[in-house]
This record gives sequence, structure tokens and C-alpha cells, in this order.
Amino acid sequence: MSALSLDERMLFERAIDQYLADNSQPESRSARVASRELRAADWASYAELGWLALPVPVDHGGIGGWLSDMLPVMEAAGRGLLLDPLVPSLVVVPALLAEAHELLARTTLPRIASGELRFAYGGRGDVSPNDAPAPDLTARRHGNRWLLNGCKRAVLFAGDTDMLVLAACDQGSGQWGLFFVEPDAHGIQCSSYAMLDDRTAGTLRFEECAVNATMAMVGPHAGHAIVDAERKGAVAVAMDSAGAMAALNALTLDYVRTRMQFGATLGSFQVIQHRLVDMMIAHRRSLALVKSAIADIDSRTAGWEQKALMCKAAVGRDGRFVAEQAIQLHGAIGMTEEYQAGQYAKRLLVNDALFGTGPVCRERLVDIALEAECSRRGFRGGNK
Amino acid sequence: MSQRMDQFRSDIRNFCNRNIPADLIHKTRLNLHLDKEDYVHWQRILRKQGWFGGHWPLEHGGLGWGKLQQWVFEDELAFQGAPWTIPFGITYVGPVIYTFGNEDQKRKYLQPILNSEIWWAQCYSEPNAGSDLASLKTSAIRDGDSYVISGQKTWTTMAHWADMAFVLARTDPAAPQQRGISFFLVDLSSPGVTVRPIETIDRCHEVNEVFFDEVRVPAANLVGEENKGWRYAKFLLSQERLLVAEVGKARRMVANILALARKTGGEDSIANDRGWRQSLVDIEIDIAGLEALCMDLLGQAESGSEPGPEASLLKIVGSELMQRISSCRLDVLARHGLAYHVPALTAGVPDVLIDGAAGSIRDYLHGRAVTIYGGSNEIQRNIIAKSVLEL
Repeated sequence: MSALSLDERMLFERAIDQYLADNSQPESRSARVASRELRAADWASYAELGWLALPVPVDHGGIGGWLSDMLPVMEAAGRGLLLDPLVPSLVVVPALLAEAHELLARTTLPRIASGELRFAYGGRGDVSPNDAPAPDLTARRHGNRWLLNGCKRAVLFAGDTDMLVLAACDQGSGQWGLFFVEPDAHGIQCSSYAMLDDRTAGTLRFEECAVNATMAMVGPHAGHAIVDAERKGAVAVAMDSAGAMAALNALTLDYVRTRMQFGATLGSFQVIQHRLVDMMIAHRRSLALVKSAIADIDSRTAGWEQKALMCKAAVGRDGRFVAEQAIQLHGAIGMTEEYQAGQYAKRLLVNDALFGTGPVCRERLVDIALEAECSRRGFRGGNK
Repeated sequence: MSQRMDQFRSDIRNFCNRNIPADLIHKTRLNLHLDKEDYVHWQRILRKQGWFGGHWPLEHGGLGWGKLQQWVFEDELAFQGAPWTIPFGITYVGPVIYTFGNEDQKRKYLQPILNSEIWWAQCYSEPNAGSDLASLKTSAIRDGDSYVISGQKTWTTMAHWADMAFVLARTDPAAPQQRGISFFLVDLSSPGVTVRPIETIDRCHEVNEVFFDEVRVPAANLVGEENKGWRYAKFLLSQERLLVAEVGKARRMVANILALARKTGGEDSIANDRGWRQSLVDIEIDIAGLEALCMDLLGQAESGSEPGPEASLLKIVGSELMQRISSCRLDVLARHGLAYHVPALTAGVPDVLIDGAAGSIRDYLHGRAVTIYGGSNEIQRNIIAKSVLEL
């Protein structure tokens, strides 16, 4: 499913490749790590390229794209080691807004398409069993406002965005709520840090931080929206990993074709050849699973949540394999900071940690399978 | 293991409890940067006990330990959290000098190694000679009573701290590869030597490039005979093979992982994840297996029949196990976000999220090299396939 015709899609993908080719030098990357202005300029480029309009519905000034339309962009992020908050801004938040009340959607979505808003996202956290809210960040209704108190950890891209979107526990109902907060609102303290691959995250502390009720989504539907949006976020991260794997495999293939030892290219040795084949398989399988998860999400196929979890778990495992083998096959040069292989490897490691690590996805899959088995047998309450 | 070795381990344990400075234990526990002074200080403490160079012959100031005792020594030290026994002087060039060097060289270099007065670096690999080390191109041309050395070495560990280097250089370009190489001792403060740092993926500086631009080295610094350098390098390798597997270090890391897992995440800790628990147990099983392999091969050495190339399996198994352990520890941190705060690798600088995270991540990244250096694991498997399985 796609909002673009085949021709449009081809042109779109070509423009992406061109953008990456123009902006991929390692020096330009370290310049971006260091400069807010450069990163803001990049976001403006993405707006011009049409990336930001993709996930926004047509009525709100966008192209009305499906998740499948996001694949070239997310893959490019991995291939190009882009530092920007693409997953929260173009996948997670639009998915949340699709379930939000009209005012919030209407006042937010067009500003995504225009490039005005980049989002940081602080979700359920990796580790809530049964999707129950963790008590770290709480919200208390006070007239026509909500007051946030507590702490949110591992908020992706905190400290470098225009809007924070945070899942918190509504003290009144004990259920999940979602809150859109400006980063410089009164009552917020942010300490941001670099992750292993230079992308940023942060710890946010809240003390009586007021959020207008119009900027909140609270109620039973909020919990479902959060879970669904995070599963889509997981698949988007997997798209990024597929892109990183493709680039890393190409780099490694090129290296073993040229590097000579013992009077022969490394690639002429059978062990090396077999390793590269395994890396190719890892990438192909990851990309196939990503496409399968996307198709299930876009067509709302029953069981899409499991597919998303499986995709995330499998891509995490395959990604780590590719990362480690690529360094091994490059030998010592793969261990240098200057060479690209290590940068891709770090990206893959961080991606594995976002929106559900392998162990967390697997536990959830086991729970889902057991619940399904119990309801098939007609037991009430399910089994844990 | 014998009662004698058990007693020895006990002695080492007690010694470590009394003598490893607290600030040093703190650094090794969290995998933080150690300075040159940290290593030198610790080596001198060991020397006072007589243990530093314990594997050296009595006549050269050692205690004449066999391989088993040397392994037990380094193994227990690692388990107790002592800093890594840096091998370049005490385990590599020292034994080469007392085995193949002349009396002048022994007089000049052995004591300063034991006393940690001269720091050594190993200049073997070159940009085009990694796995294929014998194809090295650094040349050493005889000129009067000197050799003139020109070339480039790379991946040289701690060259930036070193006073001297032992260098493999080609003295006979016409001879088939291995047979034209000589073993030199080079003063790194000589004119023409440039040491340039290489930043690795852990954002740390440990290895270097070393450039030799017509460096004059006294002919007296040639070790043994011209063109026999490869033999001395192989001797060194065969000494090392039996010692390379780290069991004590692995056990210490597992204890550290358990502590880290318990400390992070409360109810949601990975310590409750069944899959992770199984992988940790598999690691413990494989540590026991590695120890059994070590005892098997070291036992052979003790009884006089020194194992041959099959000892390479210790490098393969040990290095791959180390990587699994580092990976397991990374998984503990992954669910809390992989913040990598490089400044926290220096003692006294707090980490951003979890104490010990920076060191754990650094250990994982640095550990990708253990299957590459010292003869990559692909090469090690080739050696066994050819020399043991005769394939």
C-alpha cells in the first residue's frame, strides 16, 4: 500500500540516494554531531525533500503516506547514519495523533509536515510487563490542566527537539496517558547525553509541570494508541537497521575484494566468502521481515503486533551478527574510529536497544502466545 | 589442581587483598582508564614480592616457574582484579633476550624490565602485513656498525608510553619472506622515530602507528643472528599460546555482570529474564570448559610433553568466550539506553546513567579486537586444520 505512484516512488528514492551521496562524508557527520544549526538545516532539507509530509494525512497538509512509504526514508537514516529524530517525528507521533482528539491532531500534524516540529519521545519504557504503566512519571488532573511529576528516562532525542511526547500514568485512573509538552515549559529539568552512536537521549525530571488538557490524550484508548505507536516505532527502527546492514555489508564486501594478504584477496578465502554470505542472508531476512511487518500494519492484518515484535527481535539479532562480523572481517582497521564500519556497528547496537530489546520482545511474544492458547482453550484471565 | 597450586592461589589472593591499592581496584572493577603509573606501581609491588618475572629462570632474576604456575599466577591476579600483566617486556622481549640475546644485551636490558624501568612496545604489524606478517616490508640495512631502519608499523599497543620497541625488520629482501627477517631492539627516542595515535571505536587511545624514517640502530641491538628473527618471533608465540586463555578474568566479569544486573532495573531487571539467565549459565559452563582445556594442556606441559599447535585452540575458545561475556554485559545495559559517556572512563568522573556503564561498553567495543589480534581466529583455525588435522 502506498500514497505514491510507482514513478513518484522511484523519483523519491532517487532523491534520497542523491541526498545521502551529497552528505555522507565522515567530516560532515562529526560537524553535525557538534552543531545544532547544522542539524536544524538538515531537518529543513528533509522538509524540502518531502519526507516530513509523508506520514501526515492529506487533510492536514501532508501526503497521506502509509508505513510502507516510510521505508525508503528510515532505511536511508540507517544507511546515512542520520542523527535526527525521524522515528519519533515521522512514525510514532503521527501514529499517536491518528488516535488523538481533533484539536490536538489539527494543531500538530501540519507542523510536522512543515518542518516546524521535531519530537522527542519518552514511552512506556522497555520493561513493563502486561503493558502496565510504570509509576515513574505521573499525571494529576487539575482543572483544565494536567500536572506532571516524576521522572522519565531514556527519552529519545530529548534536549534537541521542539516538542516532548511522554507517556505517563494518570493517577486518577491508573492508566496510561500521553502528554505533549514544550521542552522549555516550567517545571522540567533535562539532562541529555550521547548514546553510543552519537544520537542523543535524556533524563527528564518533572515538578508540577502543567500541560493543557488539549495537549493530552488520556483514557483507555490512549493506552492502546501508545502500545500500537511503539510497535510501529520498533518496526521503523528495524527499517533503520536494515539500511545500516546494507551499507555495512557493501563496505565489507568491497574491503574483502580489495584487501590482499598471502598474495590473494581476502575474499578469495572460502571462510571469508561463507561469512559474507551469512551476512547477506542476515540483511535479506531482516529486510524481508521489515516489509512483512509493514504490510501487516498497513493492511491491519490480525497478528500484526506479533509480527512487529518478531521483526524487532530478529533484526536485533541479525544486526548484531552483521555488526560483529563486519568488524572481524575488516581486521584491525574495523577497530578504528575513523573507519565507517565501527560507526555502523554502533548504530546497529543502539537500534537493538530502542523500542524493545530482544529479551523484552521475546518475553512479550511468549505472553501473547500463552494468552492466545488459553483463550483458545476457553480459560478466562489468561496465563502469565 | 594440585595442592601446591591451590596454596599458591591462596597466597596470591591474600597478597592481592593486602596490596592492590584501593584506587586501582576501583579502576579495574569499572573498567576505567589506567595510567602508565598505575601499571608501573603495581608491577613494582609484584617485583618486591619476587613474583614479577616469576617465570624467568633463576639465573636471570626469576623464580623458574613452569607454564602452569605462570598461568595460575596471571589467572588469579585477574580474578582478584589486579591490572592486566602487560606482556611486552616481561613476557615477550625479556625471554627472547635471555634465550637468544648476547651477554651485553642481557646485562643491559633484563634488570630494567624486572624493575619496570624500561617500557617496551611490540612493532610487528604493518598496514599491509597483518595476518600475513611475514610479508612485512620495514627494512634494516647494514651501514657500518649500525642498521638503518625504515618503514611503518601499526596497531602498536602503548607505543606512546614506551621507551624501547622490539622490531621485526627485513635484512635480506632477496630471501623468501620468513627467512629475511631480523629482530631488533630500538630506542624510540632515536631521531627518525614518530609515534602517532590511533583512535579506536571505543574512543580511546591505546594503539599507535610508529614511523621509522632512516632510524640508526646500533648493530649491537640485533638480537641473535641476522635473518633468524622469525624464529625468535615464533618462539615467543609458542610461549604465549598456553597462557592466552583468561579464566579468572572471565569469572570476575560474570560476578560483575550479576552485580550490575541486580543493581539495574529492580523488578524489571534483566536478571529476571529467563533467556538471559540461560545465556549466563551457558557462559559459566563454557568457563568451566575453558579451564578444563587449560588444565589439560598445561598438565601436558608440566609432564614434559609440551603441546604443539593444538594449543591454538585456547586462543580461539578463550577469545570467543570473552566476547560473549562482554555481549552479555552489554545486554544488561541495553534496556536502560546505551548512553556512552567517554569522560566517565576516567576515575572520579560520574557516569550519566549507571555506574560502570561506560567501562562495560568500552570493554565490549575493545573486545571486538580479541578475535583479531594475536593471530586472528581464522588464522588460528587454519593452523589447527593444517598442523593438527593435516587437512
